[in-house]
Amino acid sequence: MGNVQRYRIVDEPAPSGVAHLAVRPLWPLLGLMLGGAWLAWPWFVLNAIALGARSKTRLLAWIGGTIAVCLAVAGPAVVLAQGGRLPQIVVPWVGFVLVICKLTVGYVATEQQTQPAELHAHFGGRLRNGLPIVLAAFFLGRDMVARLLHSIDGDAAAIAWLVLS
Amino acid sequence: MNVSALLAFASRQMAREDHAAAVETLRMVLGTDPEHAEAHALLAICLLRQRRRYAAEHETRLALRLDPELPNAHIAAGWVSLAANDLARAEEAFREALRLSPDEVIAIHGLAEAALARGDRDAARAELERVLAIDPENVGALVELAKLDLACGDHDAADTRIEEALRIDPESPKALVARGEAFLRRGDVAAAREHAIWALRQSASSPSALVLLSNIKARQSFFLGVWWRLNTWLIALASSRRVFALVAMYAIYRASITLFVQLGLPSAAATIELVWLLFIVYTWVAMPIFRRMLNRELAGVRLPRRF
Repeated sequence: MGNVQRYRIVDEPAPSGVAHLAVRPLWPLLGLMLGGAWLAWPWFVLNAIALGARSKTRLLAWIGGTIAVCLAVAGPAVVLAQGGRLPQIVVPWVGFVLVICKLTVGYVATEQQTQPAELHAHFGGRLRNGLPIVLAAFFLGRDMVARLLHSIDGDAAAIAWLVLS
Repeated sequence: MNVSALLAFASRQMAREDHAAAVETLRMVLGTDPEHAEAHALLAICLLRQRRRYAAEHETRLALRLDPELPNAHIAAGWVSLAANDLARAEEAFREALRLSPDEVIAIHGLAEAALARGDRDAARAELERVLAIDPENVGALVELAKLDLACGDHDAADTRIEEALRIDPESPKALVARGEAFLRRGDVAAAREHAIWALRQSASSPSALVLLSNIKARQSFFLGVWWRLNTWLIALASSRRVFALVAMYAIYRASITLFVQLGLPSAAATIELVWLLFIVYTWVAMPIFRRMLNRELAGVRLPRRF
């Protein structure tokens, strides 16, 4: 049977140069919750490549869409708030909309990557522990991003923080 | 390589719910002959049982393209449509399979499943009786009829059918699991557990046996039972609905906090925060405890290496 070719099923992980960086999608999701979108979005994309997931384009579309929606909500809200024209009662609801938006995409990405991660592990691939990255993002990353954004002009920094946090 | 022997072997593995092994057998067939429509169709059914819907759809398309007159290709298309909850298309595919091969009991079984998905138990029962008229020793149909009897509260009729199924195939995981479910409904947890373990010894990867064993564990502990029910409810949902349910839970939590703070009720907001925190801790803690309990149970079962 030595000359028999192994039939490859379409959803099996395709070999990739970064396969050793694959993690369970739970970790980027926790990264979103404890670190922020600045960590989660690139991590989800890297993980999709590492897992050889077939939904990379859809994932990029979801992430691009959520960034656009967050910008569309945060931009006017920050400008209105700076001018004192945003009622105080509305401010927490702006944050609410942004969080729900990001969380939805986080869950969608997690759903998209759950089965590829299981298949990756099933076919002998290694899944790394993402906890150190999540902890580093929680204790150090948020502060670093905030400090980085502090150096930018006022309104843009506030908008960027709302979109990336 | 004897392809027909391998296909027959894969069919037997599928009948024993050992879909992982069947996938490997069919992979061998397709490695030799990538244009084998029957192997693609059977592979599609196995992949669907493993909840790999995308791959199952792909294999079904290949099977239909290679041989549009192959009954099993239409059967695979029917199961794929059923998994996508497209009942009309599923029934159409099963009927097409029956047009090509009128005694194809799996297609009739599919029609019964579609009727069940529509909530029409009478039609499902009629289709399963039709399977038995063609093949009186069809264990799958007997077990499904027993489940319908159980759902209607007719335990005696269910017992008779399960006995009959076990007489035909004493080691059928499906029949053993059905018997375990019947015991669990009567509150006989020990007998239910015995049957789940017995079924797992026959087929280590039998999903229904694992679900039965998990149900037994959930029944033994209220703390874990609630988690298991919440978990199975979430898993049973379609992906988009699951995302919606999870986001909705969080949205309700966040919205109520914001609302209570704005209404000047900080203590109510703090209570909700505390309840949410406890809920998070509970879901995190319950999962590993449940898994450990299940693993301890499975440690006593001599399972094949691939499990």
